[in-house]
Amino acid sequence: MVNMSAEPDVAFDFAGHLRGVRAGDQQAARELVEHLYPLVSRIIRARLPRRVAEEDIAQDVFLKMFARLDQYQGNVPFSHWVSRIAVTTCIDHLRAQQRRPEFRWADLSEEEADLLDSVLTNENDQAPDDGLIARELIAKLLEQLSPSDRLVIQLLDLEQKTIAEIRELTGWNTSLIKVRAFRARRKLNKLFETLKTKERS
Amino acid sequence: MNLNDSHPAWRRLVRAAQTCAAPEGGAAPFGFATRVAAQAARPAERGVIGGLERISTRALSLAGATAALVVLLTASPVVNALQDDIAERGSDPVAEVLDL
Repeated sequence: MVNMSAEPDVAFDFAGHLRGVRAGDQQAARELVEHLYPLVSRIIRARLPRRVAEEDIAQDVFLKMFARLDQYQGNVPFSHWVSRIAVTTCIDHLRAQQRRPEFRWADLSEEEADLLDSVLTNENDQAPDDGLIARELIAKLLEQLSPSDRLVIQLLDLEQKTIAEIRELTGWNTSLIKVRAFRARRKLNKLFETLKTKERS
Repeated sequence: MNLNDSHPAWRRLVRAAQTCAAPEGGAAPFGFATRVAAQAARPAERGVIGGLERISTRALSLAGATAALVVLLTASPVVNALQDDIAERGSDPVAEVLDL
């Protein structure tokens, strides 16, 4: 979960480190990377499947950060600016991946299939209690969506972010966010209805 | 726009997922920061590559413009030469075929 407001921006001297990096200070650059790595890694882990090499994506994020340092105006906290780079890098990575043509019961583990069965057939609105399996299953279901729609639904439903927070994190306008959320929900609804009619092998 | 607009199965899954903690961020692997900082601080290499990129873009634009100019300059003489050729032969192939 990305909680940008909880970043310790006050404790870490971003301004001083940025001055150092611009002056070619390697130590300042190293400290900046080390300080921001947990934030970047959290964003990557929340957005990308576990099979993706986190370190490679993180390296990409930090190289973009250094390359675009001149574009940082200081209007938003530096960690927010880096978060946006991390989010867009994740979207780019997802776009580059080939999407699965179809969601299949056969791709699920036994536990995931049981859980899916349970949420599809359970008439009362009681949530199943295995959070970890639910997370895995959600990640597989979200692979059916486009990267942008996936990001919006993750931020809205799983991380419970407001539209304003999503706007800040992605740079997209309110209408675009709402359209993407609507599209994502419609696609998920369709997917659940299809899964209901299909036999579990 | 909230979770209640979603499919009941999705709502149940999301509620279940929220019972488990979101993935935490880890510390940078050993040597990662040094490697990235060193890679970012290669102004010479970046400068050369960046320079070549800029030059190649300009060269491509210049080549395109030159090609268009050459076509424009040579089109008229080529068309004239063809017309002269037809006139010299004194016959229009289409008219000959159609016996006009």
